[in-house]
Amino acid sequence: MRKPAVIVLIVLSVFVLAVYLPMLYEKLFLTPIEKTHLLFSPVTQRFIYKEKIVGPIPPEAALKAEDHHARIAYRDADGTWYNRVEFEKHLPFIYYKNMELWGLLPLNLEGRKFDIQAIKNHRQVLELSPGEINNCHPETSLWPLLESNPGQARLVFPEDRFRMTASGMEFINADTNTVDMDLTERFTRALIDKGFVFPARSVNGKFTILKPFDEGVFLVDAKYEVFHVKRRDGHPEVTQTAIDSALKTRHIKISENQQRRYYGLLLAKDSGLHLLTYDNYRLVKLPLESYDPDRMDFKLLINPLYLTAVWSDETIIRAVTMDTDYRPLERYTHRMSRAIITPAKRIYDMIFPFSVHLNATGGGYLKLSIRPGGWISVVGLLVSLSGYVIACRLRHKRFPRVTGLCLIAAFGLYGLIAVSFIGSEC
Amino acid sequence: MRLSVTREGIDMFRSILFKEYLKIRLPWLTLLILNGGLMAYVAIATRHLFVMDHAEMVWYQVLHLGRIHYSHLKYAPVVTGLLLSCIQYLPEMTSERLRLTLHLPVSPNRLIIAHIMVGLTAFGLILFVDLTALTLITSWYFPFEAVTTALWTALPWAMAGAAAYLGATLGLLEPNYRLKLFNLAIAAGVVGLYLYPLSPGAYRLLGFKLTVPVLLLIPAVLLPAYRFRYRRVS
Repeated sequence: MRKPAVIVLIVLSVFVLAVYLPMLYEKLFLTPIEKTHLLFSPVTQRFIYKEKIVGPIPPEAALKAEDHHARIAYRDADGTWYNRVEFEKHLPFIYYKNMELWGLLPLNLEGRKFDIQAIKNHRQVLELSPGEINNCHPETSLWPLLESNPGQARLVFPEDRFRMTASGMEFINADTNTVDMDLTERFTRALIDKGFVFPARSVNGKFTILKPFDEGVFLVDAKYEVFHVKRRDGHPEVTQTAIDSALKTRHIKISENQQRRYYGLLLAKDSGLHLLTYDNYRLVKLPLESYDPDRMDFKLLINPLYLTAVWSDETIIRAVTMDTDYRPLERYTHRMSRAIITPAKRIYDMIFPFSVHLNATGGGYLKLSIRPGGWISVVGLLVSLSGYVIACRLRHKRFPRVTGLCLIAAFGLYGLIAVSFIGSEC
Repeated sequence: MRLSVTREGIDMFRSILFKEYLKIRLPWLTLLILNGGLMAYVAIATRHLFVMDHAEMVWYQVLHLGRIHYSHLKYAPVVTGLLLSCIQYLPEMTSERLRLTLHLPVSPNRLIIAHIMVGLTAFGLILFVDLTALTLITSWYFPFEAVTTALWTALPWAMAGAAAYLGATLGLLEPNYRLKLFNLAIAAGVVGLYLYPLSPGAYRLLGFKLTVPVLLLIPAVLLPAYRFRYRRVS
């Protein structure tokens, strides 16, 4: 029984070390760098970005750092450097409040005039991150259905929440923690009358009262038909949308906006991302390339002249700018400064043959992943092996046991630490 | 002859269980009462939420914003596990009484496993009370979906407690101080895996994988017991 106990303790030690040592190294030597802010300038009609400089600061950045830290780069797709004020002036639809302070409003762009109200009326930002997608984050499957016609300025939470069961839309009263039979019956009946097939696949809405008005929820039924459900004056208002069930809607990110042009974003099963418009639920497919919703953050910036979609994984950021008819005008791909291999990252890759990560990205579920080290980790393995052999020769005047060598050859630094402590039992 | 050996073995095993029962029953009862008191506090704190705010707002905070109304419970299993291990093994180790036990005519592995099973059962009973109380409190104020989320949030904490019990045992039984510290560090690492600050229910997808590090700690404890039995100090 001693041998299995030793093996188990070594396995456990390697696992724990592979979780904590890389984590400790990251905290000590690796600075987390924010993703690049990539935008489209309607002034120069070029992509422009802001990012942290990794490594030595170029002289151009130092020259431009008049009122900001020199480690922040403001550049465009052509490589031109800007200072902060120039950068903001190139993005007047975003920094419109500063434009007003600097007396630069109304703007004259592309033969059109934009005052502050015009800018405000056309601005909208829609975002989708991997952790938000249905079934990718921990969620208690109870949702509030707000009153869409509250008869007052602010929205209020109803006294109930609903759940989708195999055969109905069930409302539970929060005061009594019991099912409200009347509401349940009325909403279930309304859904069935419109052709809803239970059970529901997903419930999509923006469940907050901090929004200008309420658009209710979008329910995807068992046949992937999408239904728009609202509570209006306490009564159900159900619309079966014309959204194609062949899309197999995976997620709808709703974002109520006073413009009432887009309900939000709709993610199809094939990872196609669509704008869900107020025009009888018409979908507009966004011309995204290499977009993976399970790995990438997505943002759509809408202004009076352009729509700019920006999506990024951990290293690459991509963007496409469209005109107001959704025709792609410009595309840009940029390797973010956070992807630069610094000496600290190189040492990390060298000393850790692999690392175990427990991450809950973007508020999602905790996931366990093992990241193998690159070929450079072979150097670390060899150094660990040599160190072990030398230490054994010096300390015990003998060549180390094969078991210890095998463990170090397999697990590198983790094996070395485990063998150093438990080695006598091997 | 074999029958007689087996019967003697079973008798010996029963005697060990009885010895452990006599040793830990009062401190265990104290731990149970303390845990019960903590759960009573959780019940009072939860009720207070509903006194201070409308039910629908409390539901919003708990069900959507991820407020954990039983957050006081988070470290209780770890403390319980640590104390239980100390109660069970400190007296045995300080006066080396465990050495006598390990020289009884029963396999040392079985003896240690018997000791661990007693400890884990005692710990499990306390945690069963805690989780039952949590279920009752949550289901009184919230729908069953909230109970499921609460249990998926508290289960990793319970696993942390079991890891703390086994980890402390791993450290206490080891006779060599260098290895004792190493074992304690590894055990602390395992405990830490279950206490990540996450949204309620975030451990859910890990499922069975969640139990693996704790299950591995059980056979690992046999190594220090073996080393203690054969006086492997250096």
